[in-house]
Amino acid sequence: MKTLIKSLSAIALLVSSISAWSEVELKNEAFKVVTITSENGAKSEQWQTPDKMLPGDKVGYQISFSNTGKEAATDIVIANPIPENTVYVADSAKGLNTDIEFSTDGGKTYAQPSKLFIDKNGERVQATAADYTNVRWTLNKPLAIGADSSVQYAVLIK
Amino acid sequence: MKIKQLFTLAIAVGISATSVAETAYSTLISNTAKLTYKVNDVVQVPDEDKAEFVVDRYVRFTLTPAVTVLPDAQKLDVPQLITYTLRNDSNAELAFKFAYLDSTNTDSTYSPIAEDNTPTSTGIVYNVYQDDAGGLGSEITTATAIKIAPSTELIVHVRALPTQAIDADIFVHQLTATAFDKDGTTALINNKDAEWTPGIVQTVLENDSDFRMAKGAIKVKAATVSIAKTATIISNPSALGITDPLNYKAVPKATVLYSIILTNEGTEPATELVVTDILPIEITITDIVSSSYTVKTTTGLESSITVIPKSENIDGETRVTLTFPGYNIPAASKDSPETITITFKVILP
Repeated sequence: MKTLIKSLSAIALLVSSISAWSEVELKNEAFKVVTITSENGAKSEQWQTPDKMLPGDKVGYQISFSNTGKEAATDIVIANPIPENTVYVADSAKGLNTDIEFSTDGGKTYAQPSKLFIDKNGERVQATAADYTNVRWTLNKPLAIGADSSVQYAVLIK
Repeated sequence: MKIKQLFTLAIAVGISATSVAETAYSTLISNTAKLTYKVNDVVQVPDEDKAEFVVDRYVRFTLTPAVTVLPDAQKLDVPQLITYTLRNDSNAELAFKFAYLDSTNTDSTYSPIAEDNTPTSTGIVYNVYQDDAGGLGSEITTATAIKIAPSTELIVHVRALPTQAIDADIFVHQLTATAFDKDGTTALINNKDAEWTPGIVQTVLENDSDFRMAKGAIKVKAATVSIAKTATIISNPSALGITDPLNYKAVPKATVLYSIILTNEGTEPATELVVTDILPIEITITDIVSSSYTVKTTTGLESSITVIPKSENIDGETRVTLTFPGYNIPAASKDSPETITITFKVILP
């Protein structure tokens, strides 16, 4: 039994060490997206610290990542389930040098919006933003040592 | 002759939510992003990060007064109701307390109806005040709060109109609803200047006021029904040589045309009017010419109904009665009352 415990401890230490050596760090932040109207009537969006989040509010998520390691990182994929009680805002997912895909089945399969279909009342119809359950960004170039980037998308609170 | 009038009393019923329920306050919105990557073609341990916040409480409700009320003629000893509709469009259950001021009846005060300070079995009707018919007019607040779920309506009754309220009377009224936390002890205020703390629910009122006031004038609507009966002798076969009907006499075998005229001078339709006509004691069933009776409205529409005459013991005497059930008379038009005229003929014995 003592041997088993020792072995488990060693595995735990190893996993902990690997996590600590993570070379690409991820940071996920939520913002309240507020529409500002200027004096000349022009409208623009501001991402503000979340405050008084209410049904109907627009929430922007910015997911930043940086390569703190000593090697370039490749095949970077960021996956993000759309939070419960929210609905994805159409065309809000962005990210430089990324291919953006969506899922309507909880992340089992992904495709671009034009290729996403769902069954509705027995008919196969084009999926809308409200049907998306997950969003995924795939970087199409390596992330160099010391480089950082970010992706983003927005949801509406139901 | 007697007339029984049954008014349709406008008691509103609660309406369930038609809008989609919003995300309830205190709901945690959690978003987890996961990053996978390779270094030198070797899969690395993924990195994850969460962004979380809670949905705050949005307080939005409306209080809408009735524009008109219908007095209940069957309960003349009971103050009449003014009905308000309180709708909670918040994303949280709220408790409400009410204050009422009647600036029309300054010689009256309003007291909470103690026995009715709980919801009815349907949970939607709430009686808050009644006029105790004494003292000076004053504003008073209910002691207990009533809870209302999101996206639901509550019908609030104030027993405020005097018992003698009649058609076209106008009463000025004012009901105020204040939102409380669901414990009913702390009135909700707009803490818009509070520093945001993740995980701490804040309250956001639709505006900076913590109450809604329904204020306005209510017009009493009622049917005002009267009844009249006329008798005209239309033939007198035994009176040879008499050609002017005005000179006909009520002699045996003369034919009498009876007309019963129902008139509504009120602003509300009268419904389910039941007219019972007790004929003179000398008249028997066989004297009635026909069992078909003509009904004529103000607009000239005529119809025929079948009524079976009955012999009844009334005050120890056998009398023939005719009962005409279920008439509806529209509300009076701007220039003239609405009438229904029932006619039938009797040959005098």
